[in-house]
Formats: sequence, C-alpha cells, structure tokens
Amino acid sequence: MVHSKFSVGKAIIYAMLVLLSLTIVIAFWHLMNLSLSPSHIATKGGLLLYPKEATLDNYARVIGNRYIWLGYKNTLIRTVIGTVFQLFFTAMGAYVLSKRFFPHRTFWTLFIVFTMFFSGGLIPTYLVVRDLGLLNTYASMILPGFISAYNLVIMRNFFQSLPEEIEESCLIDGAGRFRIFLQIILPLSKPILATVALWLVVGHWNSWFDVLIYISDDTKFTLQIVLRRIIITGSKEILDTSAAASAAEMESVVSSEGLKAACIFVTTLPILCAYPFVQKFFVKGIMIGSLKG
Amino acid sequence: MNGQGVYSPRRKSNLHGFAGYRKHYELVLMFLPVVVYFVIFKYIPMAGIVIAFKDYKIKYGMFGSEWVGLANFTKAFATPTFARSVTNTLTISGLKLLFGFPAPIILALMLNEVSHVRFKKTVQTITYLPHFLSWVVLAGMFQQLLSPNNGAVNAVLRDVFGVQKSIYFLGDNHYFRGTLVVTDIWKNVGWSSILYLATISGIDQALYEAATVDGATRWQCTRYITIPSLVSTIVIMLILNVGSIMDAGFDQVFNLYNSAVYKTGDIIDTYVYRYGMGDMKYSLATAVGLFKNVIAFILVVGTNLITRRISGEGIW
Amino acid sequence: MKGTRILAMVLAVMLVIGLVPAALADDEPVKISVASYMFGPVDQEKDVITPMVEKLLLERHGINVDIEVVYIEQANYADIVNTRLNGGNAPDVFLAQSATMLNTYYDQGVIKTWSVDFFRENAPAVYEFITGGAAYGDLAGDVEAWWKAAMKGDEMIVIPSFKPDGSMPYKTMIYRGDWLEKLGVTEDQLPKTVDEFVALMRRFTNEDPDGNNKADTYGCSITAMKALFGAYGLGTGFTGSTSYWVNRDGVLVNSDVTPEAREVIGILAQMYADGLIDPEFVAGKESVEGSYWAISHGMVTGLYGVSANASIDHYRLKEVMGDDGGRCAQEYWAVNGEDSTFVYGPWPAGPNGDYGWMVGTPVAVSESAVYNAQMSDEKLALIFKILDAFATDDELYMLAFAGIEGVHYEKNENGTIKRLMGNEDLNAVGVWGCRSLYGADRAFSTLGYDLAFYKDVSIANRLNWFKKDQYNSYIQDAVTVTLPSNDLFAELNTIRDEAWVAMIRGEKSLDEWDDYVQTWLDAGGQTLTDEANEWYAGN
Repeated sequence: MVHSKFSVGKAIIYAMLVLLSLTIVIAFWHLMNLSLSPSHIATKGGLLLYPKEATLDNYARVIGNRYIWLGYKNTLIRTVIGTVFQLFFTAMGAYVLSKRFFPHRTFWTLFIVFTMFFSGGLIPTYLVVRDLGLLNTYASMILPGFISAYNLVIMRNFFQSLPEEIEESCLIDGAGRFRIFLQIILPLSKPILATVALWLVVGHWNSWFDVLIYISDDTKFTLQIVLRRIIITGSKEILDTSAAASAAEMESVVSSEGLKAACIFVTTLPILCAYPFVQKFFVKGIMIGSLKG
Repeated sequence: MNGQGVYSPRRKSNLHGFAGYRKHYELVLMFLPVVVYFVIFKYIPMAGIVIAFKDYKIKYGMFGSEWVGLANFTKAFATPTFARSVTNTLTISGLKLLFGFPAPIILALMLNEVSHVRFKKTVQTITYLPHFLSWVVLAGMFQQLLSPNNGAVNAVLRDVFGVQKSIYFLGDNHYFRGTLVVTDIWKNVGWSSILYLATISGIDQALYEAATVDGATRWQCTRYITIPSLVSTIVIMLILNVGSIMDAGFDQVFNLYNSAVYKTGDIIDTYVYRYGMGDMKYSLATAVGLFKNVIAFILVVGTNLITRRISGEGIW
Repeated sequence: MKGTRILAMVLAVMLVIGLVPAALADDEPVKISVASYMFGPVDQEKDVITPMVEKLLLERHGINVDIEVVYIEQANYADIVNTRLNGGNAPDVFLAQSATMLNTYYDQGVIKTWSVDFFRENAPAVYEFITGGAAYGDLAGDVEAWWKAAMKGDEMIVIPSFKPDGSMPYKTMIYRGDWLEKLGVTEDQLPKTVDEFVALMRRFTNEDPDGNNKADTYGCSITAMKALFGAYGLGTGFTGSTSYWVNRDGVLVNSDVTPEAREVIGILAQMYADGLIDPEFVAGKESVEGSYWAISHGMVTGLYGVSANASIDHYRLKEVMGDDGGRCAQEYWAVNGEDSTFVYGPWPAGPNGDYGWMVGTPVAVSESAVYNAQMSDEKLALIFKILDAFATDDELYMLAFAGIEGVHYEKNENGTIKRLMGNEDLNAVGVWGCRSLYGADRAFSTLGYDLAFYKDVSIANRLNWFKKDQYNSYIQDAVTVTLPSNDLFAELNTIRDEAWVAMIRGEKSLDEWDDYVQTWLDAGGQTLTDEANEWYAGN
C-alpha cells in the first residue's frame, strides 16, 4: 500500500487542490473575459465564461495612455533598486540578530519589533522625508519602508535554523563574519531570500500611496498611479450635502469594470511571468549536508 | 536539527554587557545600518504620537497644539458603537486566526505531498494569484456570486444540496462573519503558504533519505520531520498574527459590509472611517491607533511569553 | 544627534507657516500655484493654454503672473493636500472638497480670510455676478443665505460660487419603458401619489413585466424607496453619511426621528414583506462599487422597474443634447437595445402634497477654492483681479475653460460646447488649469451653458422640486458643518441605518420606533437638535 502510487489520502489531497485551483481559475477566466468585453456586458452581471462582443478597446485604452511606459519604467526602477538593497540590508540585520551571543540581543529585537506597533503615522514620516530633501526622488519610494520588521524577524528565524557548526569551521579558517554571511549564509538561504524578495517585489510593484504623497513630478509616477488615473477618472461621486453634481464629473469619460479588469492583467502579468523563477528556489529542497563537506 | 539547541560558547560574552560590542565589532558594523534606519524613519516620527493627547491644529504644529489629556480617547470610546466595534474586531480576527492561520500550513503540507512536479508548480502558481486582486474588485465579484437573487452559490445550494431558501451571505448577521473568513482564506491561502513552502524546502533532504531507508511512510515523514521543522516558523507567524489581531481587515470589511450587518461586521477601522470621514481628525485617528496598538503589543508580549514556555521559541 | 536636528527642523517649519509672505517684485511675474480639479497632469511640453492665458492677462489686464498648475489625483485629493498643509508646502490655491472640509480648513487655520470690501474692491465684476444670481428666479433666497455661509463672522473664507446647471434636481425618477408598455401604463398614468406608487411596484413584482414567466422582478430598490421620504416632506440620508433637518414652524427637526419617518418605514416594511423590494436593497444592485456610480445596475438590467439613482443629465436624450445622450442613457441603450426606452416620472406626492428629493442649488460649498493662509494679501488681491479678468473677458474665459475653438472645442447651436478631446488630453494642454482659482466646476459667467435646456417646460414639468420652504440646502450645509458636536452625526446615522433596515426587513417591529428615537436622542441627537436650533435662532 505504502509504495503504491494511489492512496485515498492522496486522492483527497489532489481533489482538494484541484477544487481550490478551479475556483481561482474560474474567477480569473471571468475577469479575462470581462477585460475583453465592452462596458455594458459588465453591467448585465453574471459569470462570463467566454468574451461577449469581444473587443480590445479596454487594452487599447490602457496601452494607449501616454504615461504607461513611463510608469513601467519607474516601477521597474524602484522595484529593482529597492528590492536588491532592502533584501541585502534586511538579511544582514537578521543575520546579526540570529546570533545568540550578540550583546543585548533581546533589546535589539524588541527595538525593531516595537516599530511594528507604534508609529507616528503619515504626517511625521512625511516631515522627515521632506527635511531629508527626498521629496520627488526615487529614494522617497524606497527609504521610508526600507527595512520591514516583519521580514527581518522571519529571516532571522530562518538563519537561526542553520547549524552553527558550518560557521565555526570557517571562523577557524580566519574568515570574518561579513564574509561568512556573504559566502556561506546567503547561498544556504536561497528559499527565504527568494520568499522575502518576492514580497518586496510585489510590495513595490503594487504600492501607490507613497508615490501620491511624496512624488509630484509626473515623470516619476509609477505604473500603479497611471492605472489608478485611468480607472478613477470619473468613477468618483461628488455627493456633498449641498447635493450638486459636478458637471465636470458628468462630462468625464467613465471607467468600466472591463477597463479595471484589463488593468489587473496589465499590472499582474509581469509578476506572473517572474514567478516561476522565484519558485525554482523553493520547489526543490536544499542539501545542507553536501555544503558542509 | 534547526539549530535551536546549539549554543555557542561565545554566548558568555553577553553577560559582560557592552564589552561584547567591541568583541563583535564586525557584527555591530553590519547591524548599524538597521539601527540608523529605524531611528530616522521609525523612532523620530514616533514623536507624532503626542497628538493623540492634543487637539492638533496644523497652524500650531505638533508641539504647539493644546494638550487635552485623554479627551480624544474618551470622545471615541464613549459611544456604544465603539465598544461593539472592538468586540467585532476581536471576534472576526479570532475567527480568522482560528481558521485562516492553519489554512496555508495545511496547503503547504498538502503541496509537499504532491509528487507530480508540474501539477505542484501549477497549483502553487494558481493559488497565489488571488493575492493580486484588490478587495474592491473581489467585492464586486463576491456580491454577484453570493447574491440571494441570482448568485451562483445559492444556485448550487438549491440545485445540488436542496436548500430552498436563498441565503443572503453579505446581508445576514448569521453568515456575514463566516463569509469574511472564507473569502479571506480564499484570497490569501496560497500567498501565505509560500513562506511555509520555503521553510520546507530549507529542510535538509538527507533527513528524508535516512528516514525512507529506515522504512518510514510518507505520513511518518510529514509527522516527524516536516512538521517539527516548521514549528519555529509557525510560532513566529502565530505571534506576528496575534500582533495584528486588532486589524480585522479594513479593505475587506469596508468593501463587503453594509448597514444590515453593522451588528456583526462593524470593526474599529470602519467605525473610525465613518467617524472621521473627510475630516482632518488626526488626533482622533492617532488615539484610536494607539489604543489598538497598545492592546496588540500586550497580546504579542503575552503570546511570546507563552510560546517560549511551551516550545522554547519566540520572537525574543 | 541627528534626530534632534530633524525634530528642531520639523518644529521650526511648522511655526513658520503663515509668516512667510511671498516677495512681490514689480517686474518679476508673481508665481501662483493652483491645484485644480483635473483628470491628469499638465504636460509641460504640450501646455499651450497656460502661457496664452498668462499673456492675455499681462497684455489686456496688466496682471503679471506665472501660473503653475499642480495636478493632484482626485480620489486622494484631501489626503495629499492635507499632508502638504502639514508640511507647509501646499499649493497657493486648492479645493475644499466638501462643506465639512471647508469648515475643517478654517478650523485648522490653514486658509485665508478676507473682508467683503476687499473682495468687492478687487473683483467687482465677480461680486456683481454673484449678487446678480437672483436672476435665477426663486433661488434668490439661497444666494443671500449662501453669502452668510461663505463667511465666518465678518470675514469671507470662500467665494460664493455659481453653477448655472446646479439648479437641476439632483435625482430623477426613471422608469423602464418596456415594463410600462407591457403593463399598459402610459406616461400620464405614472404614479403621482404614494398609493399609486406602491400599487405600480406591486404590478412590477407580480405581473411579470419582463415577460419571461419567472418571478424574478422587483418594484424598486433603495433610491426609489427614498422618494417616499420626500412625499412625507423629509430629506433622508438613509444608508449614507448624511442626515437632514426640516423646518417645522420655525423649529429645526431632524428628519430621521419624525413621526412621518415612522410612517414611511411602515410603508416600506409592508412593501418588503410583500416582496416588492429587493432583499439586497441595503447594498449592491444600484450603485455598484467599481463602476460608474449613477448607473442603476438593477434598473438597467431589468431587476427593478424604477430607479432614482441618477440625475436627468445622466439620462439626457439624444434629441435634446445633440450628442450621444447622457452617460446612463448610453448604458441603458447598450444593454437593452438601441430602441429601448425609459421614461422620466413624477415624484409621488404624500398626504400633504409634498414630493421630491433634495434640490441642488446654483450656489454650493463643495469643490470651492480656498486660499493658503501662507500667502500675502497682495497675492490674494492679485488672484481676485485674475478672477475679475475671467469674468469680464469672454475670450480669456473660454480659453481657460475650453481651450482654442476648433482645436479643443466646438460650439453647439444651443450655446453649449462640444469638446474635441478627452479630458485627460485637455488637461495635458492646460485646459481647466486656471479654473480652480475660483473652484472646480464653477462658472464665472453663463457662457457655455444651455440654460434653456434646464428651463425647458416639457422637462421641467416632470421634475418636481422639493418644496423650498420645507428644505433649504443652506441650512443643511451650515447645520452639518458648524455645530460644535457635529462629530456625533456618524454615530446617529449608524443607529438610524441599523434600526431602519431591521424594521423594513421585519427583524424589528415598528412598535420599537420609540425606543429607537430614545436611543437616537441619548446618543447625541438631543444635543445636536438643541445646538441646531440655537444656531438657527441666532441667524
């Protein structure tokens, strides 16, 4: 039984995985069809199993926006630079805190964890960014959230699980901690590095609020900002107590669910394409034993 | 096997306090950027918390505004709705913790059992997709799917399970919280499982090989190798999740709730949103935020204490 | 320590707010930054309009300015502006998006105030235009009232601004033409009383108006339900963030706790029990999140027979407008076919002959321009002079508002303008950039508006206005924003919405009305009512 390919347990596992995947595939299939349909199809409601009155208008409007490529470029810049530096410094800090002999380790851990709970909020952070002269720079999209306490704690936890003996032998060979970190720890930690890198990439890719607040130069607007502009135009209701609808708003070109769906695919597609490369790092397990020798 | 039990002889230096910094100057240098960052971007702005105790006016600034003691707190807490929103927040978060927290672990373990590499990769890729959909988009979809009028879910319940009366999942106090929990799991289970999958792939493969040679079954491998290796990650994640217990998910609730389900669905964040709508209520928002975080912090410290006792694991 | 320095800087900058007047040299153009109501940023390379406006201002009016149009995304406008106000780097001119926001800005001390004389001196033509607003007939009373609302004590905080088409009723009853035809209801037979309305809703539900032999239709959803409040002389913010005050013999009473409101809830509860109201009325099928708010998905797709979600502008006919029709009309035709019809209906009247919905007014507080407290009086005077130039110079006005004729717009026969580019493209070349010196979407003159359309008898007959002596938007604005305890509204509206939904759905009996009223009064309703009347008596 044990070695046979089929078992009831496995069948249940496969069935559940298929079911979960199916609900997600249907949802995305629906959105895909929506993005290929004119606006009134969305108004009709219901699940779309194939595109009705198929049109590429929604995609044409997204791709046709003059800021879209600039947006891609800026997003790419912040994502690449941000991820590389943040990953490196987070890992380095996490490595230090993973050392039980680091002086006042508990204090320093709390020093970092504390910031997950207490923050001054948006305004004081804005003032700091402004006083450092970072307004309207790429740095303002990266520095305020440079190291996440959450990521640091999780990485530290992973480093702690690596056997200390690996380092001991290197120390005897005269290697410094920094070199051990670079040459031994980082290569052994590919799964967690890939995971945190993925979080950072997605975080940068999707973030927009910091750009709204810190950036007013339209040549530095990111993809999400451009897409928001395409979607939001006209979808806002100005309903004050005085109840006068705005004529500008009446005139405005109005977005549809189809346009929104098209935007989802335009943004997420690059990430979807990148995912298999990340996946590679943790589908197959590592062999610590082989590295030790 | 996860190195927790390995204590370096150098641990002693910890007792000598500051002398340790000179000894480990290389580690100190590596840690310095982190400290500098946290001081500048986290601790300096923390001065802004003072406005929770002030009647903040832009023209007077943070430090020039008038002190009002706990007035901002009493103002927010005085209403009956606020007390209810705290209860609702804790209930919804509690349910999410109870059901939503184990879900990605189970998914990761299930995926680990799958031997077809392509199937495994495909399922993994698919399940992490919903993370990329915003709640605004999902709310539109769920409203259609869960509609008592012509929603697909009610149609299945009627035609397959013979439930005659349609259920208004999003407008009925009996079902609303359950709907929140299930939709939240659906959206996040795949994404959250990535960390566990990464941890599993960090397990030394030699352990499995040795176990298999000794005749262990798949289940035994899972029970005695995989799960124990995940414990420290699970503990850390549990503590971090407890830390967000005062956040029941503003985006989700805000987009799905309506006045019919305020009773079970109105959380602290939606309450504050309605309270301060379109207004510059910085002091109030800071006060409520502080209240939430003090509670969350106490809970995290408590959980950390308990998990340390039980499993020897903790964040600090 | 580095931290202390930043703290000191933070402190210093915050204190400095309001103390730095811009230097006004004679030869140098004065820089004025305006955060306009825009759909996209101005493209510095393509901006043709702003330089032309600046040139005309200099040559014809002797005003030497350098106008910088700042783009701020509309959806998060207040967040961004408020953050910059905190940082002391907000634009010179920005918009107060609502009456509440306006009051908050004043309260926070971040906007400029000035005297009426100062305004009249620097912008005589605008002053004349606003005061002459009495030309809009029965709205003269509102104009006078609005002058009061624009002031704090003897100082003005905002310019009373005009919106010539704002005199339109905000919401309109729109019936499905095919359903009416199927049931044999002609336009003349559309419900004019509450009883007739309920009867038609019953027929919509029970007589298979869509002819598919399925019981899958309802009479209406939330917006048309609200027509009943108007019929009983009430305004209502049901399932929303507002609440309305009505004047009963010189005393302000909140609509939400009147005996008439109880009657309405009673009628609605009966309708709900009879299945005439969509069980999902609390959410969903009228204004669907993510798509255009004014489209009633339920009405357009044939779930309900009537909706009052949109204004008549949304349902303009092609014949009337000469373009593609209103936004919702387009959607209606796309879903139901080119030949499908909809019918504007009258508001059903109640026992006292009241009817309708809240009325928009040509003067409004929302989206009005406010001026950064940091600017000097000289700069403010200059801005007022620019406004006056706009009001007197039609060519300049049209340039700023609509662009270049033939390139950016064409004139329709009825005097309205037809834009030749999308909004975002128009913004990119600078159209609309300067307009927000005055307020988003406010006019300096009636140029470009087809006033005849709004006064067209055949349409006006179907648009029955809420009785003006009962309801006054000025009172509404003022009461909502100026009462000391206005924070309590959020709690009260929550109490109201919960109680009403429960009563309509039969989860609570109507006998519990008095308990609800008591809860409402205890939770701050009494305080607010006292404050409202105190304020009312003092004005």
